[in-house]
Amino acid sequence: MMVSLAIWLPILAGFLLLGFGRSLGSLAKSAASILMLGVLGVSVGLLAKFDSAAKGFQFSEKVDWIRSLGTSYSLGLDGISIWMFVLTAFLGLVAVLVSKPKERAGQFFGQILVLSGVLLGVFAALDLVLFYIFFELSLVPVAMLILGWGRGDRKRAATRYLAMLFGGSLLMLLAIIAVGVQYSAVTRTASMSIVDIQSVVASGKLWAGKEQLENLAFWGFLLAFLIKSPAVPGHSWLASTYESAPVGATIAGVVLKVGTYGLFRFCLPLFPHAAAANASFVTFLGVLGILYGGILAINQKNIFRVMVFSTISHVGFILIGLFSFSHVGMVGAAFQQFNHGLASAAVFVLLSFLMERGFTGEFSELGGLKRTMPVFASLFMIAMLANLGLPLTSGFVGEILAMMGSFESGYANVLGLNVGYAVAAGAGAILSASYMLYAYQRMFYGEAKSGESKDLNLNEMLIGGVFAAAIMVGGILPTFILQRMDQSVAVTGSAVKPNSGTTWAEGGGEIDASRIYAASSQGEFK
Amino acid sequence: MIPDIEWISVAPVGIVAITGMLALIVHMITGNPEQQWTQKVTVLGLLTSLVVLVATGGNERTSFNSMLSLDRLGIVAQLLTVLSAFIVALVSPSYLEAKKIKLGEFYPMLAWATTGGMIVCATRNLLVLFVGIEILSISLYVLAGLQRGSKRSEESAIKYFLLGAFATGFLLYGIAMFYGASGSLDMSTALSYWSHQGPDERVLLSLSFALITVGLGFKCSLVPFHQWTPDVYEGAPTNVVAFMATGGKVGAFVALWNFGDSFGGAGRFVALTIAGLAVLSMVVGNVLAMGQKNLKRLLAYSSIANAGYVAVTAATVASALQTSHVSLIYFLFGYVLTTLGVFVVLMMAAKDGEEPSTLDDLKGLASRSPIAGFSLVVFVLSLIGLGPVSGFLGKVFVLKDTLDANLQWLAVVMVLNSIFGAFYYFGILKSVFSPEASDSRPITVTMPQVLSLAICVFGVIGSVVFYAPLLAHLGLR
Repeated sequence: MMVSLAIWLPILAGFLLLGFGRSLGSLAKSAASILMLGVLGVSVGLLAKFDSAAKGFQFSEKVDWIRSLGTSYSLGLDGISIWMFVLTAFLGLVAVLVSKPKERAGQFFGQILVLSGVLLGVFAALDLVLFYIFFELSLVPVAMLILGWGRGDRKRAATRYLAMLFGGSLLMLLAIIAVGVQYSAVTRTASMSIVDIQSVVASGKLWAGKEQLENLAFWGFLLAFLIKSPAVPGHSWLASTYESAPVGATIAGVVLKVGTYGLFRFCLPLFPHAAAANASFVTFLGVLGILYGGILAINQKNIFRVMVFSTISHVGFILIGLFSFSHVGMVGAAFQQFNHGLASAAVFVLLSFLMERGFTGEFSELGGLKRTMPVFASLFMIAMLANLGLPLTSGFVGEILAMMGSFESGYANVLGLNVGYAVAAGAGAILSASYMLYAYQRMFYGEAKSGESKDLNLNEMLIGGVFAAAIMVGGILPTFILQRMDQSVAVTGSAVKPNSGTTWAEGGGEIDASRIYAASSQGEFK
Repeated sequence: MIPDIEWISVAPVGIVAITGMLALIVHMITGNPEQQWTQKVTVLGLLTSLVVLVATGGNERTSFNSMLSLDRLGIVAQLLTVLSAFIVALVSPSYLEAKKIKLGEFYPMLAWATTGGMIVCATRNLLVLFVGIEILSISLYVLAGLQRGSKRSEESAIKYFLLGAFATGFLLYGIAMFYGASGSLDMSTALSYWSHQGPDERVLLSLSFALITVGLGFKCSLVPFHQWTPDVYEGAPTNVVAFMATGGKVGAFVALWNFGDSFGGAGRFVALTIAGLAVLSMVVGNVLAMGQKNLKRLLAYSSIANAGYVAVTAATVASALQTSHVSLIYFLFGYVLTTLGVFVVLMMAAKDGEEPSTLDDLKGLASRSPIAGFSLVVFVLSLIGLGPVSGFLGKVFVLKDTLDANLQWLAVVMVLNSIFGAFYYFGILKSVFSPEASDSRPITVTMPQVLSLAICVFGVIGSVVFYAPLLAHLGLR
């Protein structure tokens, strides 16, 4: 019930704000922030009750819905999704707090609330059709926010955002239906619940003799998630979205790694053979993204575009960690997708403060801010260091674990992987230091150019400080997070071994706990 | 022998037909140019028919020596036809007034068009089908030309009439050949004749299949028989188009499905022909819609694409005879409510008697009337097939059937087509939420309009959320 509450409360309140927000006036923001605070409270409450030793999904809810399709309203959280769930609620609150729309505030906050609720649904859905509905629906508020409150060529940006992401996921819909048809062909019952489907996959029955279908369905999912993530060939929507979307929309909806989460949740456990067969290809795309993003990020004219390419580069790390199929790497990927949401949101929050002071984010008009805005400069430094993966920030943990996983599988020469991928990814980590620091230099040193540059006020400091604290805590005490992810990642990791017999329903296979902790603590203190 | 006759089966159709006559009589007695009594009689009559349909829609049945065969599909399709006429009649007065259309014949004609549509839904007898289609079409020809002063309206009526008459010829010729080959007028006998006849009769039957396909293709506006659609949609009064696109299409769609169902066993070529028309309609409809600036033409191409989706279900049933009609029923349910909703919003957005004709005219609609704006969001999402709306679920069902029937390539074509759909439908939203308004006057919303929008919005979302109860009420699993 609590999961449903967290999802539907903001959606319903959002619709109320969309309809009647005009009469609320400036109260709309307070109403929205109080509501999101409540939602955050609920999700933190769920985190507190979360049992990190349990193997399956927790807080499960299931109501029959469409019998003939086997679709049910089925929700639940595991160690991977609970963190994304909490992060979504948190970023929703932050997006409300930092946004100051100049017009139609009620509608703006209504859209943000709907967006947050729908994304919470994305991370909690355990039914393929339900997931797809949430997944697609999350596109609409972002597109509307870009259209209504965006900057620059917003019509183009909104259309591109919607068309690319919607178009990319259409084949996933077909794949979902194909999985459902295949499931009922094998079991003579209909179900779209991933727990049910995965248990038949694990027994090896679902795809027996249907390797081609498995591969096609896998690609349907993969394509959607790679574009959403975004991985390299499908990334062009991200640039226009970061540049045109209101920062609040970016924080609440775009920085969240729905795409890589989808790979975790669906691509690996449901299509183990196909995932293994394509692991080296996806790893290649990941490395390509790390290098391509890293190189292009260096010489951008505008901080938003730097963030575009830094995101692409970070997604690369998630991909190589995930598709190393080693426990360390997958833990790293799970951690990195959480961290990326946190760290890039931190940058965007700070950028929103900057934009309120009349800057646009072009480097040509930035510079010398360190003297006039020292507090801002130091908070920005922390956010930036988290993005480049400095030890003691949360960015380091995910990146190093992902690379370790990639090295491990590379040395073992499994899945067609080799060490070269990991080495190349390591070079990418150096690139990230150079583009981030170069951007920092252009923003904060040198001559001050234009705009009013008053330092942060107390409210802004508080919000920025929370992010900085979260980043540091995530970097110094990652075990708090890792512990709660561990079991779920292990289940997913052993489910991806073909015919493993590992199911969410009954819990994971063997995991070598001592080795994992050795690895994660290395990452912690190095 | 006198056939057993169940009067109750034809009661809903009869009520609508009599409503038309009553409305005409009332119109002649009152002679009221505002036609308020005519409208009231029509609305009441359609409502009665709706109630009778819901109350008697219990069992599938055949009557009149199986000239009337009311299966689930037929009952629900009749319901949808009457519902669309009801909503159109409900919102028409303010529109007709704004357009200064003072001809009282609108309401009787609407009722008779509905009668024709309902007959088409409830038969597999080709002759009855023909009579139904003609009642429907002739009423629509008249309705299309209702706006006497407007050249566009007259042009659309004459174009519709000429092409329609031509298509009717094909249909009738096909029916004659069918009768000549099989000695029966009942479509469902096609299969048994096919398997028992020699090559000569098979040639006749194949020819009749081709000719009837042309005739039905025209009525459904499948490509390449679609050319009339954009012109007629553009020229005819919006309330007429609203009915034409919903109630007027439902009958033709059901006939196409029944036709595919009856002929399917004759061979793979039946399914492939219909599938070919489906692919053409989806691709041409969606691609041409992308270039449209004119709203009604855009919606016309969108309805061509939707006809393509319906043809997909017909191809599915023709290729796998076990397919149930639940998908089509659900798809039609969503299509009718969504399309009606869009047209009601267009009628609301009319100003000074001119409905918005281009996308630019819709600019700022959301701020002029939030109710219209946000209802339109729901309808557009349903047209795109995105989110918990009937348009999405309808597509899912159609796709699932297509995969079940081993027509994977058709499913892929259908899915890829939705990308184009997203482009141009989203263009509507872009205009509606555009900050620069073409007209800043707020829209006064009338009670019937709100009621109609509420029915449509609730139907579009509710049919997803309350899927199981809805299907139980419609008498389906």
